[in-house]
Amino acid sequence: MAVATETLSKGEERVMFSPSTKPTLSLWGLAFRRFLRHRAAVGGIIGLALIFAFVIVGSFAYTEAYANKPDVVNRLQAPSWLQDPPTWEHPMGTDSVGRDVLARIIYGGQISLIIGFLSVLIAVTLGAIIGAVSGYYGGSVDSILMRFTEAMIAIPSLFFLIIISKMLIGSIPNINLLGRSLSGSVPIVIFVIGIFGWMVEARIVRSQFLSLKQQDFVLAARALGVKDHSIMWKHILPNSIAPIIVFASLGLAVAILTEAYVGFLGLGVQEPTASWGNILNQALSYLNRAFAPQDFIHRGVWWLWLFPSLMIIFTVLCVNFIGDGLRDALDPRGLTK
Amino acid sequence: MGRYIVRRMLQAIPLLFIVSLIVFVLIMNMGDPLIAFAGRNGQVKGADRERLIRKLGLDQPIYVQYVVWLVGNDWMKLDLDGDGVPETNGTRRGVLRGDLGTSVVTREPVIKMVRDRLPNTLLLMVTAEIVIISFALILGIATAVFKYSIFDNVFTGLSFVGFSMPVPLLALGLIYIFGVYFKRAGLPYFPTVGMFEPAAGKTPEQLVWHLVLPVATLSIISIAAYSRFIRSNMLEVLGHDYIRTATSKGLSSRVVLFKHALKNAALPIVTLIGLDLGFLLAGALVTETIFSWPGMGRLFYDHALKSDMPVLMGVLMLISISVIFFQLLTDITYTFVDPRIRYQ
Repeated sequence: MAVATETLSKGEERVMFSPSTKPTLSLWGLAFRRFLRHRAAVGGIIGLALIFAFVIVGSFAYTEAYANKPDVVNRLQAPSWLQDPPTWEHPMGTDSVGRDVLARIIYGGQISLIIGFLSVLIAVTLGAIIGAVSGYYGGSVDSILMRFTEAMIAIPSLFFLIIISKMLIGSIPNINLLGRSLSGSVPIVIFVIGIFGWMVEARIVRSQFLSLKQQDFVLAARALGVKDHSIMWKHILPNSIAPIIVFASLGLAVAILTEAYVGFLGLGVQEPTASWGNILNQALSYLNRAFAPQDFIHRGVWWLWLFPSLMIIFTVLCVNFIGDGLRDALDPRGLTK
Repeated sequence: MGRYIVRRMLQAIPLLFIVSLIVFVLIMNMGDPLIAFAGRNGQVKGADRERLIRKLGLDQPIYVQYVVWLVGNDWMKLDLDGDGVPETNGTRRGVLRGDLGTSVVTREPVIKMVRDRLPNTLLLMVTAEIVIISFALILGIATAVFKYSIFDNVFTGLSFVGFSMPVPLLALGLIYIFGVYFKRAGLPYFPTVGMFEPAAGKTPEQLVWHLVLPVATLSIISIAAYSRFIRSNMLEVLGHDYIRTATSKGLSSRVVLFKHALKNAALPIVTLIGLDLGFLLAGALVTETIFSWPGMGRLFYDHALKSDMPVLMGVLMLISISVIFFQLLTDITYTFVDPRIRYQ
């Protein structure tokens, strides 16, 4: 198929069709090799590892108490290496109550990444269950679940996210986890992003189930008396795992961006707990309060939004590259021809 | 085909009911419904609370509230003074008769607030959509024709950055460069707030000038995603045998590209655009908020902060109706543009 060859780079095609390719490689081994040859995806893995290293190693350099400590005298300081004399006291400046932006980016990064991964986990689980039940049982179960899915698609999710976070935030007290105190809004944001991210995956899984349940191995399992749920989860689902992985990787990018938007609008993770989104919110409230963005820039607060959003774009870019590589590696169309 | 269209329209009706049910149930269960009436940190308490609950019909079971929201309550008597005798006529007309309720913050009908904002949003979004589609078509086709060239590779890299871009970075970056840095450098600069300069009045030039930065923000991100999609569709079509046939029988490359390839590649593109059109009504929440553009997104955000439920429900319902309407329209358009599809 044309698409399959198009998405591979030139070098890859040569390897794939050369006689030296060992036919003994398994599907996953083949996919892994193809993934490693996708240079951008490998770059994405390295980039993501660097981000993880940054937010983990960084938390040894700064304590969370320091990241959350206001210092009003030194509010809105420009990055300290731009000042005269240059120092490394606040490499990314301070925010509107004088907290160190670099320390907040480190701790905010941990929160944003956790939100991204856990909400994708919720979305993937929901999507797999709904898609599998819908595709396997068919009939009225299928049509009810699919109408529900269509209805959820028709509702703009960011709007809904805003309502739900607005209403739920503040209803959960702070959580103490591993000696850290996190705002109760963190699990709410995870939950809310998760329950609005499953629709596309449910459709993919459903269509996989529709075609796979007609196949002989399912018939054989049924003839042997295997139970329905066991056929669904042990026989059919492992065969549709590839599109789920691809979906999850691309969903992670969307989840991190969504957290950033909700946080930017002030309705995500609540202070003092930092997230990349709510660091950006300072820029928005500054923009709204000043009523003149000219003033907003003249006061020189570009470091409030530039550094966190660079972190977001770098993370999302890496995740998108990985997702692209996974799609090329796992998409069964890549095996044909 | 007529029967197919009728069937699709009939399918849209239960879908709309499911949407309205989801919107209603979720919003009605979201904490204190009277929070918008309360002060900064308080709650409405005592006799005031009971009176308001009766007035808003919140003492009724949720399914009665849903029916009232849908079809209104001007056909039933309400018990407003709490003595157990219903005597006052209801005044609500219900969503089905075009009454989206009354804002609890401004006390204006929601439908009027939406009508004030809708033209602004459509102006912004339709302009952006035109820019997006034209640029994405040009770039998508060009990258497909010159695949693996330097141009294609550079653009592929840029488009990845484009659709990984968070809106705040792009919008604030554009404000910084074109709104402020240009002004400081004495160059012609772009306005960054609202639709008009209060001093200059509501002139068309002002409007065009104010549109530039928000439209650029919206376009750059979407062009990246659209053009990738168009590129992969074009590449798939260009690999087919009938394209080789068309080329080998001596047709000019322009005819092959636009008549043979693009026409076939257009089908998924039509679907993508059709499904996106429904969301135009929603405006762009983040972009409108940053640029203070008085549209639907900004309306929604401002009233979400004040917990103004009737406005939020009204806006969500309108957007969902428009999304479902455009889905329907896309499906029907498909029957005209793709003669291969047969409908029983």
